[in-house]
Amino acid sequence: MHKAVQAGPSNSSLHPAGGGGMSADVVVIGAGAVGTAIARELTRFELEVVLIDKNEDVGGDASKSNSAIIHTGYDAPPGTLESRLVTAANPMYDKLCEELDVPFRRTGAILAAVTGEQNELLNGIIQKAHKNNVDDVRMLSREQALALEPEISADLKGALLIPRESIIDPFLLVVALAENGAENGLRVMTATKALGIKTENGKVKGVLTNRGEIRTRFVINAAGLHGDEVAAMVGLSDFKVHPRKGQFYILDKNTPYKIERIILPVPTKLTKGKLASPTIHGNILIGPTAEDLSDKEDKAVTAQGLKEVVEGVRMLVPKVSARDAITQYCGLRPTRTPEGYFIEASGEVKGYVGVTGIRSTGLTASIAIASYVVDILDKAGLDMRPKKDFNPRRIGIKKFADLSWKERDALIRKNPRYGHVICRCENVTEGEIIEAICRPLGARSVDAVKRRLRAGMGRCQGGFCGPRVVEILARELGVPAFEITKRGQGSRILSGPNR
Amino acid sequence: MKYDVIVIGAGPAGLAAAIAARENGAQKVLIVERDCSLGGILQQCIHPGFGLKLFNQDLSGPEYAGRFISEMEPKGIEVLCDTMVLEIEGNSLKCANVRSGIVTLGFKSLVLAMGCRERTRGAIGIPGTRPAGIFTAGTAQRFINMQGLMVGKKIVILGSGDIGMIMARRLTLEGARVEAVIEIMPYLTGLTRNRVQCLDDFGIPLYLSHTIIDIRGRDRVEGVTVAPVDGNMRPVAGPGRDIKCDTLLLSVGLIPENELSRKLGIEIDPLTSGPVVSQFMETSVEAVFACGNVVHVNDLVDNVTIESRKAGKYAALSALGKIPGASRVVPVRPLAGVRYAVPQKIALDFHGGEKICVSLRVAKPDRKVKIEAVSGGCVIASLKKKIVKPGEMETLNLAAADLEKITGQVEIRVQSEASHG
Amino acid sequence: MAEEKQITCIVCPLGCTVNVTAPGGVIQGVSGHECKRGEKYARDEFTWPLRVVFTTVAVENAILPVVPVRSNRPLPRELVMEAMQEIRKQTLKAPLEAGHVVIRNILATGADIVTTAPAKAATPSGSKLRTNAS
Repeated sequence: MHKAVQAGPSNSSLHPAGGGGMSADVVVIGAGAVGTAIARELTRFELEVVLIDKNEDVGGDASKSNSAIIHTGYDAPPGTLESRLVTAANPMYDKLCEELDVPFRRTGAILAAVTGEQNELLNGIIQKAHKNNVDDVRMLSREQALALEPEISADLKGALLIPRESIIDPFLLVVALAENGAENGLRVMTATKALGIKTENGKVKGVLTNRGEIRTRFVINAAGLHGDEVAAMVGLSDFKVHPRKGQFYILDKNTPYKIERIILPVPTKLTKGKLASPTIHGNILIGPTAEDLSDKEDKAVTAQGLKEVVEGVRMLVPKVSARDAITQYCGLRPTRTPEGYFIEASGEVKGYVGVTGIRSTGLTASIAIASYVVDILDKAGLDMRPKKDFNPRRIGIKKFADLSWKERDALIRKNPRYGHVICRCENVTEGEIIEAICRPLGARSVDAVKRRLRAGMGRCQGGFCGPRVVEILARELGVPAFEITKRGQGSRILSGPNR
Repeated sequence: MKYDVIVIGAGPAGLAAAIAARENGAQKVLIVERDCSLGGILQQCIHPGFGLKLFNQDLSGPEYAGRFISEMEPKGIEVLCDTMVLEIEGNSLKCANVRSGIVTLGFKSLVLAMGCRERTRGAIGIPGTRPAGIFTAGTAQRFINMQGLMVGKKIVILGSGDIGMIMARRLTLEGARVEAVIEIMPYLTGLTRNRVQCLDDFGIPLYLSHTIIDIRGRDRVEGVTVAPVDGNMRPVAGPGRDIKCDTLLLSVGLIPENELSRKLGIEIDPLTSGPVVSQFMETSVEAVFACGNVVHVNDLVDNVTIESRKAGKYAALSALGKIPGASRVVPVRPLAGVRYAVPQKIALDFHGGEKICVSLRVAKPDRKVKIEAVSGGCVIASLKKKIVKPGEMETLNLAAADLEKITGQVEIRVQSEASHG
Repeated sequence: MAEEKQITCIVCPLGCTVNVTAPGGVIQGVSGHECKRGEKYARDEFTWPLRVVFTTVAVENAILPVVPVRSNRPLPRELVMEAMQEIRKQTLKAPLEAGHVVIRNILATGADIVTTAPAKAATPSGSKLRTNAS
């Protein structure tokens, strides 16, 4: 039984280079989907790569609070970098998710026109899809669409089928990229905030963080919502990032209405509409709103927003009800002004590569962005020799709930902890929780366990498993139970022992 | 391994059912329990108030459970702890057991006694952030009473049900400050006894007709916003009142835990969220019985014991082949004014000669009422009550003689004395 | 003692509000109750309010770190907080039966503090729920 390596915010040991302090060939700021994909891609080469993130766990912010959809790019602005990268990325996911052991499913999507006005727009959408090289979008008759998805509103006038729109576990994608990166030499430093970027004579010299300086010649800004703050560290201020809030509901697995495919609204001049999507784990997700804010810390769900979500989705799936909700969440899309994907090496600051303006399709495009950035670094003079022993495969935590009876029995006999079911809503066992804590880049908080295993994501929302997960974390990490947090510093679950 | 009766759950319902099964002739009786010890939720209910009705004693939860636990061995009831039932296939259970791996257990009759879970913040959609420090009251109770861990220092409690009030007292005794108990209804939903001994004793304010419209705090709760509600229980427009706190406890309802029941295809009553049962506590699936909070949420554990003894008895008789098959079955329907009634059906031809206890809850508080069972236009049983409340379950008894008057469905109704029958 | 008090009776669900007047500390009037039990309750509660004390006590060498306890008789209400403090000072050691006396005659009230559940000893195979940080 392996134990956690160390108690401390980072899950990877830090190797001070000669002369004291840390150094790396590349520092990636931001462990969301984009930053992590870039960092992992870089481990294909003989490079020292460090990935830092201010949060206590990988996963980013927007990357873990979105609609969990892998897009085809059918509706991207044609001819843009975004369109190119998203359409390139989509087909890569089958192989990637098989290699990284990430839950992924090509459900397809139905774009449902429920008004005459929306119906008129469908042809235009197909044409736009073709311009984006998404050629498998096709028109469905009303009857065909309803045969595929009987829960769609009877107001349906026409529909499009987008066969390759898919669903994924967005957090596990990032965790898998990080774990595989770490396996291939990536150093991940969580709870590590970029405070400044040192330059000399217009060249990047290092990244200053709350955990010390990391000497480097190349820094990748993949800081999402804080991308403008990081850019300002090298004196670049030609853009701003503000949050666009999206509120979502997750519905119970046992709703009396079911959908197999993502049901998308037809965007009109007035509104983008709200979607309903099956999640990879069997729930239904509905949302999002789109609210432009100025406060990057505003992560509250609002009564108005939730009402808007339900009203919007009911136009497509009338049976949806807030009563079926098990939880709500919101994500803050990093919205760049001026808009658009901006992925380029800076001309003024040598070694700085900005990856900004990535939003709404960032999860999808991440792996294509990674290759794109690798090219940029190559052209910028970084010596990139391929690693001979790069291992692209990562094995995830075996889910007890997915095993056959025989496999379950064998697993329990080998390790009794797998016979102890902790999360009864999702049937997650103690053995899996221990594995989630003890593997490299392991979970150190209740939410980190939740995201890796779904323990606490069921209908009781951690009411049953919560106290048990806290105890297991405390035991495995060797800390008192009252120090266990929900998601890192400042979020202790408990106030203290009372005996 | 085939048992006459298997009981799922070793809380008060399961314990009483198992004992009754043995006492009524079942030879091999097994309780399957997922926790490492017996007693279910009673283990964490360390306060007194249990057993007043049944034993004329004021016992704590563990003491009440202890009375039944002590009978396991003498009565030869087998107990399997650390065992989670994963699947029910036909006449057998597939379970995960820490020591034995996957265990398959056969039964002739099954008693479902899995209890209930708590309604969550997510289910009621309270706006605001999602910081640490939000607990359902029962989860907080487990932390404090079984794990010796304190949940916070400044507490606001949403819901004036018993569990919320009991936790208000517990937290205060442990040195926390309970700022307020917030209740959306215009009346207390728990027992008056608890308001006196849990809130009044400690000067904890109770705000009726109020709800929480916002939760603040980035990493940990920093405060909640409380607003009054109108006659439709909707928040009145306005900024509300901020209460600084570091913990929010939710006592906003219990939901029978019927995962396994649904998998079995058992008919569920949408009014109770529990299985439709006959007076024998038999569900829509033959030889599968249910009792306790999994059927409907009870207030008094004493009533759970009474009901569960029935379930255990008839589960045993069923296993022994002593319950004849098809019988005339009439539905029991609650009329307006009655939120629900259990059992939801009565088997007429074999009723064992016992009286049938109809458990019911009224939809709203009232005084000077008559609770009646009506069939074919005739009142077949009646009960006068000086006061009725939704938070206090009532029992209307149908004697064996009353059953002969049944000519079709039985309706349960509540009538104010002022109105004409 | 107050001269007049409104007491909510808890004996039955009616929850009558009983008015007790006691000029000079002697009960003169009790009104608002609907039965004799209520009158008695109000008198007792006015003169000498009693409460059962219940809490948990730390226990070493057990599967769970605490064991539930209670007073076997109600205590005067004003002594409850002090009793809690006395109980908090205790540490027990498993194994223990239910009914084990933790404090005899607490605060000279004649009531004992007893365990209400057994505390099973932790087995050597490390089935302790957790280790207390020392």
